[in-house]
Amino acid sequence: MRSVYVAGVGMTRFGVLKESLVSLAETAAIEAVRDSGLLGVRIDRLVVGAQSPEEFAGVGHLSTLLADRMGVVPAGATRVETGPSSGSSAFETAFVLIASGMAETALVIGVEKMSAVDRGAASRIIAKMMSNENETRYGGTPAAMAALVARRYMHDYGLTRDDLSLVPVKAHRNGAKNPLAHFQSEITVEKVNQSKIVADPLTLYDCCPTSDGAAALLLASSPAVKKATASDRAVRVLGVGHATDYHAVQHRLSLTSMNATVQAARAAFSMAGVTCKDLDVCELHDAFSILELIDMEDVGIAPRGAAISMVRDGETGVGGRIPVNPTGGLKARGHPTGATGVAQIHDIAVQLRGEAPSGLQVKSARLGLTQNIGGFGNNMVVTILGGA
Amino acid sequence: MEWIAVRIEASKCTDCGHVVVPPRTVCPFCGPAAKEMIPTDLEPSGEIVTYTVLEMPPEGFEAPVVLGLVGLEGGASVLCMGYSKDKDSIQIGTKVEVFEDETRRLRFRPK
Repeated sequence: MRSVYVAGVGMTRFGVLKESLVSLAETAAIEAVRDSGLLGVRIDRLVVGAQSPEEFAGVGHLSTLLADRMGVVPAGATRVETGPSSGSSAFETAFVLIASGMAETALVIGVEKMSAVDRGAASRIIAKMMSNENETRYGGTPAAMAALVARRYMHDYGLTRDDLSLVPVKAHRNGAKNPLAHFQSEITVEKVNQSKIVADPLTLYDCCPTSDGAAALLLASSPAVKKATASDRAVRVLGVGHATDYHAVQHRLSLTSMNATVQAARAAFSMAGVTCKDLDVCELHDAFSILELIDMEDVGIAPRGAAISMVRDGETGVGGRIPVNPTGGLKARGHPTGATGVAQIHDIAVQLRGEAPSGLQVKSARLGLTQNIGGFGNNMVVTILGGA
Repeated sequence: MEWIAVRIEASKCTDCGHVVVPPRTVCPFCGPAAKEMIPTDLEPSGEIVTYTVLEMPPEGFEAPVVLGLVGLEGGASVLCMGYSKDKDSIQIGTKVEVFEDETRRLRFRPK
């Protein structure tokens, strides 16, 4: 397999934004191409990750539309959809195209515009990723499923409500310093505990928002990246893993571990030839506070039931032993579903380049991991990136 | 509201022995190359594996919505709706009976 590099990165702010789906995608993509310094190089492929642009924004045939708008025609263009892990899956497809030798360069765009429809409509669109037969027709929502998981985790491991609240508090502490984050203000344990209950035991502040936004990456082969004026800033893709779990939660073998993460992480570590002990920084899919703890245990940076003690001791803070979600995670950075996986890779690449926003840079970060969840816990992509 | 207890339709894999509700033709644990799944039905009783009370349910539902994941005695787990009047008497481990309501959705209530 050939080496693949993240040669350039771009990202819009996440939040409730005025810009259209296409405008967001364009902004992130132009930034990624300019950032790479590969201005004269032909882009061979475009891969777009988006969960549901037809329903959220009324836009179809997005890959061709963006190939045209980005001026990369006749580059082959593809849209990839795996729910909220669509962005990472698009990245995986682009990675394979270059690793296999089918392309020298590929532009990856993750995008979602979720605020153009009202909240009820957005919830209906998101709910389509769940099992209608076993979950949605019972009133099951992603938050309800996360609440079922949280209740069981609390029962099995003694996690308390106050401790769980430390997770969104950390997310907002980091988000407050990230100029691209949806939420840029700090919160307290009391505020999390006292906010409206969504699905007991989870409150509003345990849940990530729905957001608008886009992120983009220009991937390049080794010969292509050498032509970049900024090739010394390129980050190498060391490992990619991708795995599924059963569609409905009721068919899974565990409630407190997500096997798709375990499998995807194992594959990514094996490809990269590193272990979880070698990691310097992680971006994990904390769509709900409880998931950050489970993600930590599933990728292997925390023993079972012990993730919360690491959060409590500050080990996952920006200055801690293994920083988790230094840019705010889904909770504070926001969650435009198709954009999230690409944003996670963007943020790790920026960390490895030593260019994170003030107060968020992890010291001598050389190896980073992203973990992106599709569906409710059933279509996971894990990537491992290293300094070139 | 009173519902008649029914046996719950399921399928059992003749390879791995897993029981799945509702019934399927391909075992989700063994794949299409495995032996067939055979129809079976389960006693409508079990215990609460985990539960939640939705205070902000989706459109078409009225808060509070009680949801419980019930581990049936026959081996499968099923997500069921509960009754709001029971929401304070449910815990992990609570023994429940399971019914099918007129909308063909499974419901539980404490025994």
